[in-house]
Amino acid sequence: MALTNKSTTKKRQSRSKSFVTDEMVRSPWFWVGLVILGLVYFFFLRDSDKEKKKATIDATPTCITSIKEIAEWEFLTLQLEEFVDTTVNKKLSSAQSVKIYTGTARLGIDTKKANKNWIVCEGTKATITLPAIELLDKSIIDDTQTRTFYESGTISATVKEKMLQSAKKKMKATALKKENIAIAEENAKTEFKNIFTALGYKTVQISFKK
Amino acid sequence: MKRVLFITCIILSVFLLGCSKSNQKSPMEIALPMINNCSKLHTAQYNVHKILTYEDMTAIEGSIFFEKISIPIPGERKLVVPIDATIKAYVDFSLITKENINVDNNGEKVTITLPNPQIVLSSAKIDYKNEKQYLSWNRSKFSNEEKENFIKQGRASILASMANSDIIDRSRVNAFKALQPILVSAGFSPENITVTFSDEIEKNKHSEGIIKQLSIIED
Repeated sequence: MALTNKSTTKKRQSRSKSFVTDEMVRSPWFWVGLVILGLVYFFFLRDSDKEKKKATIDATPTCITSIKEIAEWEFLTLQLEEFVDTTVNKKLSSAQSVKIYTGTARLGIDTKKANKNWIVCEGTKATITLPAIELLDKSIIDDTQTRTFYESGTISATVKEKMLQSAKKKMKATALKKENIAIAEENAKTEFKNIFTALGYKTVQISFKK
Repeated sequence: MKRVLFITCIILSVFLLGCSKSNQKSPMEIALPMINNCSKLHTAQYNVHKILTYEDMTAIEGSIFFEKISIPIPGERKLVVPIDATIKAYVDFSLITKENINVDNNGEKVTITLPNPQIVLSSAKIDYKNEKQYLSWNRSKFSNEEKENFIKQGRASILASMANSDIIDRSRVNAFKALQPILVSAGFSPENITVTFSDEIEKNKHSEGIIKQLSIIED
């Protein structure tokens, strides 16, 4: 009996040293708190993705605004990226935006701009005068691929438009470099030479309209 | 000692929870211009306009006693983005070999077999001035990342919708119209010029095969 008394007193001593005391265990609030903690765990902590988003993207019809018959021959493609950093200073605050634009510059010829007699064939000789190499697209940026690297504050639509135009200007300058035009001209010459050789012409002379 | 251990456990668990939710983003790199030599005859251009609409309904999801529950958060969060895009159809001449250009022995008739036209989204422009967000007081603004992902889906949807349009057929007709004056200048009369596409040949091969099979059955 004395032994059992000793063991209970030891247990009591050890409990009094720990966080959970006998008084706490006896209190109904302790058990209420425990149940609340359990519920919180089940509701919020059990699933790491507790907040789920159900997104709906409406499939509105794609309206064709215009159709154009073209005859553009692309001879060089440049995949470009441009980095544009803009800071807008206002009276009380400032906003900054850093965007990376993606675009594709297509260099080639528009055969609709060729002279009437741009191809002259005599016997086994073909003389071709191709229109000058140019950028085939007015707008070369695919804005759906634009990435925002950094943004703070509110950037207006006008500023976004200016940033896009700045990127476009830089891309055009890169694309229309002399060496790129020279490569496109060389590719054009090779292509037309191959076609006319296959058609039976032995001598093919190619030049560009100035 | 136990207290110290308890506090350490709490700090560790907070750190672990924090780590589990963070997403490591790949570094953004600006690529150098990629130059590709090519020979593509663009024959049709479609300018399209699309209004992308996005709505998200957030719900708190969890499970209680192994039963999944979902409590929707009230409030609206909508986004509208108008996009103008240019889609072009082209014939890839780099796939053409000498075998695809046949001139008869007399040098009077020419047959050119072209690969099937393909489409490309050559440029796209977001109408920032007419971009709108509709948000309830309890809902957060759209982040740039969210918008960009949503716009990318819109881009894919534009290209998918073009596959159902007549752009490919129009491109074929226009390819013939573009090549005819070149071939006429090369000395061929218009009635002696034939332009075919590789998938038409495939279709004919298929029907020829059926005819052969039918004749075998009849025999």
